[in-house]
Amino acid sequence: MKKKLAIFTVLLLAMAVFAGILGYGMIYKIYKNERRTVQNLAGRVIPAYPDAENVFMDALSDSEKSGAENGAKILDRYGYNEGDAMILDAVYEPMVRKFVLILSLYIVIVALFGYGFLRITDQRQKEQEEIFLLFLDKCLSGNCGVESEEGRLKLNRLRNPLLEDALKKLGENLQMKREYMESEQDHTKTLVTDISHQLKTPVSALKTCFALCIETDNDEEREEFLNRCETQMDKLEMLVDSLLCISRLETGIINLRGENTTLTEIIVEAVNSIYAKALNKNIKIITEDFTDVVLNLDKKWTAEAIANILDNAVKYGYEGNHITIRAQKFYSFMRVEVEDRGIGIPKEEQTKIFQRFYRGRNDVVRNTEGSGVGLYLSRQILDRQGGTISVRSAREKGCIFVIQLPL
Amino acid sequence: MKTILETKELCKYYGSDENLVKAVDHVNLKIMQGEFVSIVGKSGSGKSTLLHLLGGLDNPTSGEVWVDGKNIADFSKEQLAVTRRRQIGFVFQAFNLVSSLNVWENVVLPVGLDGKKVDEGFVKDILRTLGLEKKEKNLPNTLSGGQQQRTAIARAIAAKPSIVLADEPTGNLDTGTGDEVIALLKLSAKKYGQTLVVITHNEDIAQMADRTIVIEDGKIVM
Repeated sequence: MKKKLAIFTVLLLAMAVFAGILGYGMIYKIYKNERRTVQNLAGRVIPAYPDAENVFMDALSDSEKSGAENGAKILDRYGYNEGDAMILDAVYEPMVRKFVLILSLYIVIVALFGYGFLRITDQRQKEQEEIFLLFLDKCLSGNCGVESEEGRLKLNRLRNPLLEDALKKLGENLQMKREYMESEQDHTKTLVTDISHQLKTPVSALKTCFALCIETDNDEEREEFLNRCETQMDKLEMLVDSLLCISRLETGIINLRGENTTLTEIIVEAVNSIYAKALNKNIKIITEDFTDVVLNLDKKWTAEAIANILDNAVKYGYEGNHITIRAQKFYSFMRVEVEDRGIGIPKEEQTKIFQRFYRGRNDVVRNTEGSGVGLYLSRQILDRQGGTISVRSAREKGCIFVIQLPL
Repeated sequence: MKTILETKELCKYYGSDENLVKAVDHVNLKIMQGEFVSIVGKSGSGKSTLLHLLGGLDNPTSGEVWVDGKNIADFSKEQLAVTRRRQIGFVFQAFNLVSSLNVWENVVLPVGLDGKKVDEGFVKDILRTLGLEKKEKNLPNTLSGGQQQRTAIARAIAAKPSIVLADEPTGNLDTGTGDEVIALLKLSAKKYGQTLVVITHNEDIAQMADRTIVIEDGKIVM
């Protein structure tokens, strides 16, 4: 843009210089012509009338041209009329023609240049606007993936690279959100499938038990099957509860709402929900001293996240041992560690335990009630609030869950 | 999801004949936008070399690196520098802060190099997120290791890159501080919609990532 303007200016300047030279040439010609006329007069008159030389020279240097009026009258008699058009003069006529021709050419060229320049600028502007409009149109119609559309969108033809960059990022951002929404939808579908599968086993077990219960005549057997039915019902209830949690969390019905709470409040709530189970197994939950902090988190759900970890620690812990909760304040996060002395988690399984419906390969895990939902839920709750959860093996046995809560 | 970073048969060899070291050996990987990927491997497994190749800091022996749908081998030196500045933020183990500049100056340095106006509100927000708002005027040598690394993270994010590449960002930090740095990286990448690639030999850290790539002898094994 600037370069073109510079070229245009230089061209105009060149033409002005050309016009200047031309004008100067003409003035020079006129000047020369006048000289010749005077020389001619002097050459003819002075030799014929030597006495007139003084008068002639006087007249030449007379800047007021006092004899002009008189001279005009005399010349008028010979047809040298002052009113005659310059164009009729044999000497001036070609000069005037030339001047008029060049001037009109000059005007035409400048006009063409100006028009062309405006047209090009206008076109460029239009082209840029079209790229913009096309892009915005694409965005509006919900297809703003720049990558596949690059050829069509011609964003790289935008003259401002920063603008191109910003538009691309905008497009990508929108596309990402759109794809995220779509993947959420898929996710929900998978969730429904997963849930049905999870429900299937206890439901069919329940059905079989019921069928047997109805068929049998033996009271003892009936009692036995009814008991099994109850167990299956309990299992089902537990599963439905946790599934409800997941689906609520995933479909966004549960909004994790930050509120002013303290870590102590959260830990107390988490421990309370698990206390009875721990007592049954004679497992102590020890919380080491820490400086309490105010946290802006969803108290109920964050407590639930920690409770799930404690629940596992109790479930897979040995009778009579203890669980330790430690907390330490860092710069931007509160670090909470839950250490148990239970069966531990093999290293290769440590990343998998946070996946939905993942259950450990260990026989102890296989034979314990559980749906593979708890830790997944914990991770979801913590991730969504800007926190993290990870696990590492404890020094002796068991494992340490590390939770980081944003301050 | 859109692929933001991709390698095709990427190789980096050093030496020749018997002394040939295949630091990166036919690596094919795809990283989607917004993902948090950890690349895990023992020291000498070639993971740092891989990260340098991903970030255009080093030239591959063969193979290609595609950033945002463009092959970086097609870039001129200048284009590559611009891409690195605008698209990629780096965090190194050794922090690599300029010792004569204070925290604020270090953070806005890449933005300034790009000739862009510093988005002060944005930088302030980052510094607040990273807990550095009171350290703006401090020189790096007056900060703890964790604070220095947080400054380096702020610098990587300030230019609003689409990708943040971190090479052992917790290597010089104790476990607690290291975990926190990863949590911060994750938090800010999520907040600012960035793709995060972290190289580490620490598998505990890898747990916090969405996906883990394991590299052994220059090859992806998982």
